Amino acid sequence: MSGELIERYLDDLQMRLRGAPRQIRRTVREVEDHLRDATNAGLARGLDADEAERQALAAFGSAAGIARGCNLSTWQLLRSLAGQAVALVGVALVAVGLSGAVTAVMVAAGGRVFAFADPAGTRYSTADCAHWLGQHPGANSCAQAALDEAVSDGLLQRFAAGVVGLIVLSAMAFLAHRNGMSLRALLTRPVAAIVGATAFGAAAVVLTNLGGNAVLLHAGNGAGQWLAAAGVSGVAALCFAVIALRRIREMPI
Amino acid sequence: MNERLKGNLDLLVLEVLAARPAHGYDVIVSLRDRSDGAFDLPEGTVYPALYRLERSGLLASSWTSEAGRRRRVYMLTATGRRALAAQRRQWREFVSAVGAVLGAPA
Repeated sequence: MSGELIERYLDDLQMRLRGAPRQIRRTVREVEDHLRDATNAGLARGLDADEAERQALAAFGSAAGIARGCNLSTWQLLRSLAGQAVALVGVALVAVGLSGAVTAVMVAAGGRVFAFADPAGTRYSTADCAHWLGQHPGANSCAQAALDEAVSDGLLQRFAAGVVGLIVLSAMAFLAHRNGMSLRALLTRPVAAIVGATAFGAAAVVLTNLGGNAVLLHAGNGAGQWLAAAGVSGVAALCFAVIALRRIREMPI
Repeated sequence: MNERLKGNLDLLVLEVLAARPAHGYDVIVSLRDRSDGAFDLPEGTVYPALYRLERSGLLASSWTSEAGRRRRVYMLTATGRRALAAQRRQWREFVSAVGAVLGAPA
């Protein structure tokens, strides 16, 4: 058996395939395995080598058609990227909600001043003071009312973001399921994992810096909210980084 | 027949792989055998379906060595099993509805 027909077919297929070299090699290798199996089956039926190859190739289909099926179209690519982007926004909002929960623990453990207070000596406008004192009649000073406002608004907004994030992720899970996919598959795609690791990593650095400044320059006033968010961002960045590294190992650098 | 088959290829591939992990050639041979030769698509069309299902998280795959030859073997994930159960249910409802319409007097 010369195998020349199969070799020519594989050359043609390889030139038509688009994507990462590793994926192309994998496809070509799988197709070659398939064609060798089909050729062997033809030989077992009593065909001569050339005829067995010809029949194996005829049964397999044209290289152009197979490559068209394997290559992602621009529309499929854009739809996938849009889905990943929305899912990442959902994860980010859930992370904000989780940071609210961690901040609430900090309020209980470290006090409201550590979690939310402005730097000592911050001056507030008369209008703001009037508004906050109106909202928090139990407060005995403008600074106290500002802190009450910061605690209630800060926690409420974070929890609300978390709920919106859960709704977004539930909607994406439903849509993914309807299209025969899973939310997990969407969020563990290479682009989603790399963007997630980079964005959450950058957020963790900025938030840690803000928290560190509050500790070093303002006696810790308000550091809790930044450090809570930094911690959640750091964990999310780590998770995405692990997924990204696994995916990068499967891709060319 | 083949156009209808293409529209339901994902379900059929999942069904074949629900029985046991298999490589691409094995999948297409099983499809042909289990349909008594009625499903006779170009064999290569199984690969885009396998890749699509793997990208969707319904299949996982790995290289294995079989009689000294490397083969890419596909298996259902937990998500794939759930998707197969849902697709089977939808297919049966569809067949039942079509059957009811076809069986109805004109």
